[in-house]
Amino acid sequence: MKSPSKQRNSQEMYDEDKLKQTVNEQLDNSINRLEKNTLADIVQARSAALSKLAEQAEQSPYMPLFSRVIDRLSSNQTAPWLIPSAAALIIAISVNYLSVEAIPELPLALMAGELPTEDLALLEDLEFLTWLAKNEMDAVL
Amino acid sequence: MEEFLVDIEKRAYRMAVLATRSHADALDLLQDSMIKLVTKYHTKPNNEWKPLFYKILQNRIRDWHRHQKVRNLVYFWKNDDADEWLPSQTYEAVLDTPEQELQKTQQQSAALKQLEQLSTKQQQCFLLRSWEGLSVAETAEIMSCSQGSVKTHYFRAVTKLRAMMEDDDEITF
Repeated sequence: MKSPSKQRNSQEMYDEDKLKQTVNEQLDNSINRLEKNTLADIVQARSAALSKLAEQAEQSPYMPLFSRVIDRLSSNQTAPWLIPSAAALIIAISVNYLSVEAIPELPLALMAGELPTEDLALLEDLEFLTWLAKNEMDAVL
Repeated sequence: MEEFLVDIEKRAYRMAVLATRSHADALDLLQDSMIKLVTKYHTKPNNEWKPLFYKILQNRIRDWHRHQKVRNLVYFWKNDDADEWLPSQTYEAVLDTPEQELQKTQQQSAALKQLEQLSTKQQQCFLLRSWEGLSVAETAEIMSCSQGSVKTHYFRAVTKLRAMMEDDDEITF
């Protein structure tokens, strides 16, 4: 013979199951009786989602890393300021990196010696001079 | 993926409608959730789609409610009609007697209205546990809460529903 508390628990479980069954039946009936317009709207939503999947499949599987990063950042609802801040930081670093003061000076020893005409022509090219100076600095270090 | 969406879309729509009480908003949430699932998680195993989809939907519902709170604070002087309802509330006629049809319609409307009167968390917890048949652990994962919270929400939902149904329909459980 069950104790009164166990009997109450059994009764409560039975009541809960009966309530669940009642509510679930009514919910099932409600979706089986949706209006045609509503069903059409739902089908349209599904089609829109599946078309996104098809678009994604057509794209190159190797999305550029940059666009993947942007996509992830832009989907982050809590930090909309990230992209403008990152852009400002990149611009600031680029401006500083390209400032005139950052260009190393020419090594004086290179200018003192006599150079062939061909080499002199090359040396007049600023990029070659910079590269040469950098290599000299790396060798010293 | 299409078969999965066809299987789940009506129930998901009903859950969204109960949470938002708006056909248009529910449709937006449903579409957003579907798009996120198919674009971000279509490579996951099939058995993970259902909990993933409902988690996405629950997050969307939560965001919608937060947005509504802010909107209501800003536009507090606007008097929205709280009783505005949806096309899905009307039902197509079936081959029943008028009395049977009326009784069915009233019962269905009553169940939906009673579910509406629950808080969003209790309502969604009940739907996920009872209607979808998800476990406590799965529901906790979907709703981003503890298993204890799920049990609490579910217990409160059942208690309130029982009380409402007994009051409204004079049904004893």
